[in-house]
Amino acid sequence: MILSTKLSVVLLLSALSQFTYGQNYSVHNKNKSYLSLIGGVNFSLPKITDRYSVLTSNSARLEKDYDNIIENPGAQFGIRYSFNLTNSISLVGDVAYQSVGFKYFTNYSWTDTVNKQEFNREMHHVQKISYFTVPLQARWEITNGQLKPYIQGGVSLDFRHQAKKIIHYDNTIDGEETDNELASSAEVSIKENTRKFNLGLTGGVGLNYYTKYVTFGLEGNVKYGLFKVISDENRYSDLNGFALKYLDVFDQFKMVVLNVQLSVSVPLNNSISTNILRRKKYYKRR
Amino acid sequence: MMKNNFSHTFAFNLLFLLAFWLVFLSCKKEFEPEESFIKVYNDNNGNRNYFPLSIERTNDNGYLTLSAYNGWKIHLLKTDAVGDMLWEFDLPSKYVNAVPNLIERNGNLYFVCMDAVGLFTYVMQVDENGKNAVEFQQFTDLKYPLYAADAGDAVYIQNYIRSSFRTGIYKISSTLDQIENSGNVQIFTDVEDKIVDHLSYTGKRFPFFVSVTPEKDYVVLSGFNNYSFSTVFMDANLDFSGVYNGAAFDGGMNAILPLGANKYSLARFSFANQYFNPNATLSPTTIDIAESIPATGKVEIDASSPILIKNISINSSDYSVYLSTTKSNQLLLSLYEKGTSVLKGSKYLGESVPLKAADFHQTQDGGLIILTRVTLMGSFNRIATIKVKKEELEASVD
Repeated sequence: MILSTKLSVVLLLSALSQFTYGQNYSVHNKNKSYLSLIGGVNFSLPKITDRYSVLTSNSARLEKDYDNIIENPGAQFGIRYSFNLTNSISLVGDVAYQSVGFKYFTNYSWTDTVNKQEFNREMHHVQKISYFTVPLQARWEITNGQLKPYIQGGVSLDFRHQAKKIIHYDNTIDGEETDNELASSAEVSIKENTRKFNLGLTGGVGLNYYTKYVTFGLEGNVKYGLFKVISDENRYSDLNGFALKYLDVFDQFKMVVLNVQLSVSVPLNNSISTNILRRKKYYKRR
Repeated sequence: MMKNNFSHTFAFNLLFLLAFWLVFLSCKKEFEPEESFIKVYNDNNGNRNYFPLSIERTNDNGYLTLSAYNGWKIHLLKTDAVGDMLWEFDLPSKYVNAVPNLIERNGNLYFVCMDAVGLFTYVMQVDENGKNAVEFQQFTDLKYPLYAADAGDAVYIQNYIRSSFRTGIYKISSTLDQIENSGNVQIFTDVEDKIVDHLSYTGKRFPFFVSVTPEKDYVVLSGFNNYSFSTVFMDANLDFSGVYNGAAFDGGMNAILPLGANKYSLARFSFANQYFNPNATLSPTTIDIAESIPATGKVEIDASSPILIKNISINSSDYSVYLSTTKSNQLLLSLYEKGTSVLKGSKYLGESVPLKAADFHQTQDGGLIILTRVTLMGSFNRIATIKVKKEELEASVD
């Protein structure tokens, strides 16, 4: 146990020393290309543009309450190809699979004052949409050290693969899922309710750490979907039977997705012979 | 090196071109929200029980619905073009028993109802600006109104004449303010208990009906006649001409659409069994029984729920469309090629939530607006409208 702790400390110090020592190197990767594995988590936030409801009234407010961004987690993973036009400017293209989620909450109440009866229904709507995403971005690496912060921006082509929905409901209106009353609908496909393709503007910041053989990266991106997510044509087609049973149709919205992901990259050319890392005192940045 | 650089740049250019092509593809025709919707009209009062009767388009492209609630009380509801509620109005308690249908005259909507005490008939005018309805005319000799049909140049009202046990038919002027003619047929028995059950929604609802042939030579009514629920033909002078007698009060016709030249699309029932014939030949001068009319059994249809038959046009072809309620409480649209018995398509609406047919019309955009009753959460009967878009209808008859 003590041995493993000591080993961990040694490895950590070794990594830190490598990091510090690494600042003595500059990165020379003009015309070099990299292949990366990427993966991470995301959080999404629907930006509502139009509200719709099955139940309509001229008095009561019948709008959906959406969960905040932190309660809508998802994940993505994929591969990345990048090509460096210069030592600091590169073009980056990903092919990834991304699952995003969003939740909302509805509740309804009926009171029979004659027979002294009341009926409440609270519904928690959980949606997951999965996309094949192809972000195409330009990246600027700000410094030339071995640890290189960067900013990037571009577009993302998103092709819907799957979309599913489930509703959890109970009879107590308290904003929470009441465990001893909770029931659920079947999980149904909402593919036909969602649009097949979306185009997003994406941008973010990150940090790359270059070694001779592998580059490690950590980045965060924001993507804003330019197109509406829901198919207007099929909103009321009641393809899943939820419209009347659960008084549910989708609002229209655009999606904002914030992701945080790690990358591990290898140069496609032999990194030693191409001499990506060079001591700063011998080489000036070109 | 130069070649390598060129191929990478080319690949990225290709990807950006693909992106622009996809953007271009996604810029297709904008969907108009009034093309398709499902709307349920909320009432938090759990003691309210609605029974929708009729729907009509209004001048602003919205809709007005006429309904009964808590028995024979009357409720009006106005929506906009996308089905959202604009206002609703409960008529004062002296006005009861609104009968199908809403009638349009010169841009105004009217309906027929009854005085709660005197049992006589009112014609009410809907005031969309005042968001209510006002008395337009009353006919004190016309008791127990049961159905109103608009024939364009006249309105026909069927009623029950309690003093002489007769079914009456009244021709009202197109201006809705005077009785031009009337006729009646003998029932030979007191059916007031059945009438009261019907109009107060406490018992069986009979499918009272009035229609006029396209040639305007006969008025066809389904109502009480000769100890039965029968379909009676009255001539243009409202004199008795012929009859298809029902099986006492448990059989008869529940909808009939005259097509012209003695052809009719009809639905008839016998106890719990339902039958359709979209191209029946009937003789207006015969005395026959309704069960002798050839028709196809429709085992899934609930014979006790309203059935409506109307002409609609899809892609320039005419159809006789039946709107019915299945025993599993779905709505069923059955589309027959007009003038034939060929079923060109059918469409089910609803799933796992009870629906009951009330009325429907073809809309100006070629779709259908359907008025239905929905039982929310298995408990509350509410008014609902379903707009079926033109493309869905076209797909139904492909």
